[in-house]
Amino acid sequence: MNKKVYQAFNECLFSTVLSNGLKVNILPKTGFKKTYAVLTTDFGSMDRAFTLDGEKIQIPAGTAHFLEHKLFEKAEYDAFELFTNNGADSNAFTSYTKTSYLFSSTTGLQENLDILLDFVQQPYFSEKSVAKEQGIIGQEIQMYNDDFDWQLYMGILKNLFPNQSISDDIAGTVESIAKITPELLYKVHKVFYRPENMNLFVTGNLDPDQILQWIKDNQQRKEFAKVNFEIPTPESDDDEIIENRALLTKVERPKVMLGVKNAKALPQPGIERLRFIITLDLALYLILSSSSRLYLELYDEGLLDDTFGYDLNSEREALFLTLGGDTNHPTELIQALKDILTTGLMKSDALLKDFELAKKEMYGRSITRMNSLEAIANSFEGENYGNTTIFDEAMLYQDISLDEVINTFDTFMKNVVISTFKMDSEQAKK
Amino acid sequence: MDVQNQSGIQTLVLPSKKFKTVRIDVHFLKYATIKDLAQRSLIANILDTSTKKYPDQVRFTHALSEMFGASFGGGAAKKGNMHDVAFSMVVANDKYIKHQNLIQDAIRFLNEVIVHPLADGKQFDEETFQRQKQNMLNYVKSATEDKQYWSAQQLRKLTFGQTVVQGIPSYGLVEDLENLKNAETYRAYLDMLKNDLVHISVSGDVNQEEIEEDLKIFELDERQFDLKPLITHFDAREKAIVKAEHQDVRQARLNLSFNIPADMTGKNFFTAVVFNTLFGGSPQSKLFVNVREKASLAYYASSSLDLYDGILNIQTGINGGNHDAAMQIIQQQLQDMQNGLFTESELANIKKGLQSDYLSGMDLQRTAHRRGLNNYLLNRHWSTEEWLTQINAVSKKDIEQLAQQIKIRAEYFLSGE
Repeated sequence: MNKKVYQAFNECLFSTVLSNGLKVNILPKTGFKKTYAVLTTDFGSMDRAFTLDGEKIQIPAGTAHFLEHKLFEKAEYDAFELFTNNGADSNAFTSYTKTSYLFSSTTGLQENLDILLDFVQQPYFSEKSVAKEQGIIGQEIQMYNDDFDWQLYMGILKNLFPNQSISDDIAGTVESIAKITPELLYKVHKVFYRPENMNLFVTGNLDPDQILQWIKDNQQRKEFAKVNFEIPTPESDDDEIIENRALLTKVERPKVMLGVKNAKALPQPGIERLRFIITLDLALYLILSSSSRLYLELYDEGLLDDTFGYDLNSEREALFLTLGGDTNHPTELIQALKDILTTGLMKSDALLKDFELAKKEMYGRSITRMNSLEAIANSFEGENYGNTTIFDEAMLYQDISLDEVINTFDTFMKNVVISTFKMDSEQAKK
Repeated sequence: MDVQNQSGIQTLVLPSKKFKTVRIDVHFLKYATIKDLAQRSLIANILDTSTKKYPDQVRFTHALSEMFGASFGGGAAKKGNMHDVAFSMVVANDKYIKHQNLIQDAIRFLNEVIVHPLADGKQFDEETFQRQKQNMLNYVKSATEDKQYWSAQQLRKLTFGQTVVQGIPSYGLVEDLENLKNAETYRAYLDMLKNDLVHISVSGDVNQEEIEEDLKIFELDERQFDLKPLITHFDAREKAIVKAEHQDVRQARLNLSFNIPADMTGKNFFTAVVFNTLFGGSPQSKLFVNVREKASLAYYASSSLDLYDGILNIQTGINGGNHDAAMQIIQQQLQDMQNGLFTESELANIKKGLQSDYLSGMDLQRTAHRRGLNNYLLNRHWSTEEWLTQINAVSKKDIEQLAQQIKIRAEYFLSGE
């Protein structure tokens, strides 16, 4: 196992790649009662096509999430139940590019690791259970449809990516999931759940050598057949964008969201990519966070309130920013936010002071996250960020200059179109 | 360790080397009236945005950034029949930064927030007062957009009525909030500062004596406070109160409440906790498995306990047309619990999960603080060992007997137009 020591934080990361390709990372946390493990495949809602044994196959929207739900249920057992019987909590989540399965427990670690690896790697799908799940997920989709903030976010995504699968709901639609069959799920699993497409991160109360041995023992009991497949390279982002869109609905107060995308600005996968993103995040913190002078001005003018937020999102080769919230003055808020984004950061003594403060802030926040097993394991992005952890991230923050922040923001905003999506109450227009 | 160096001000220090941060919580607690709720919630909102020294949000948040991104939070909540205005801070341990007194800085900041608000001695800064009042009204309005939350509020009304604090959300009545005046709110703040029970807790890689010394920074005076039981008993009803409403929703909500003869301190506490986890409080529970999984009726179906008031709640999200089917399945699950239609091994697994959750909670500073506060307020002194043992001691028979005494109290149904 490779051993990476983080002396400043008194922590150590052990990592290795098994002979079948499964990547394993182990981080012991002394004094903790709990152990947390997360098994992740590089497959999410954005993956919508592949080739298996020469056959080209389309993946309906929502399939990754559907498969995640279904994987727990086997012919002979239910994985949730098995974990519970063994004193563990388990869960799973699906994002645009990843599906993760996890458990946490205070006892029975070896058994729980076996349950996790087995239920994820040994698929079972039946006609009956697929039909039943279509009902359950249908309800889940309905629930999101009642949520205006969710609609707002989906609205701006549709603006930013009108032709791309990233703007489809991760859960899909009632119609799209109706197309899912057991055969399709088996094929998807065969291609995207190969060991070399997956990584396992274990942290908490544990002995690294013992853990690795348990994982190896488990993997050696299984056979992984050779798969003849092709996965298309991530769909390259086009420049197409919907600039303005509005929706009249039953919101109590108007909501606005702005969006900017720029995939070209993103460095190649590796630590430089992480550095770019956290540097850009620092820039956004300086101009949009509740600590910024600009935020306070808009807050005092009554253009925005605590519902305002921004989110920088990087998914494989996509990079986009969304910002907005509830407002009584949508037109004015949109204009003010556009001005902030297009003006960018101007070097000054005041900004330098704010920047030094922001660095302290980000470093301290990283320290806080080091208390959380979930934060340590879930923030691990693998090769996309050069196999870095939050301990690397904390150290990167100490190394970034204001010039780098300004340049990074300029790079991100170069030649972009700022898109807006607005939701207004129906009554307001009557 | 629990200490009371000043009358009415309770201190709890929880040293642990595993945390890289130090957490400090301060609670102001009062046996509340309905009128208190809106007022004290607004006070919490005013205090946690500005102080004399940090009069605007930028200076306020910059002060936190200076403390290496210290996180600060304030808020108001109910704890049984008490209203709790709470403030908390988390700072990095001094070990990881080139800065010596982050704990003291944090205590100074909390003291500033609590004792030196932006006010002139008669009232709060008028602009701050008006803005926070408006923000709270906006928040309450937006909260009604969340149908799950809305339905829970409606059930709460039916369960407790509108004449006791239990029936009112922690932020109070909207009309009370709308009518709040600055000067009277400020007087209520002074009353809180002077007369409330104060509970302060600190956790992290710290030293008890040093912390006790540091806590002297707080400018808080001694006070008289009689700690009374936090638990209220609500008599079961002859007949449930039922209400159905229609709104423009795609997903219907069916929520129910029941009287359950158990409370936070009594003999039935552990039985109720195990019962609820088996009945509807976990993904393995009867409700989850049978309503959601087997019948494919609902996206969610779960139960929760309010053991300050002896109430069990059930919440579900279903298709509007499935009301009767869902109701029938829920009743069946309860009957099954009463008749002991669950296995010893199911019971053993549920207990294992609860024990694991309890131990996992010890890895979270906020959980350690919450348990410390609850134990003090409820005068409970269960060690970890006792807690685990008591959970283990709950028998199948205990659960059946408890389930047989559960009586429906209220039903709220929200469906599409």
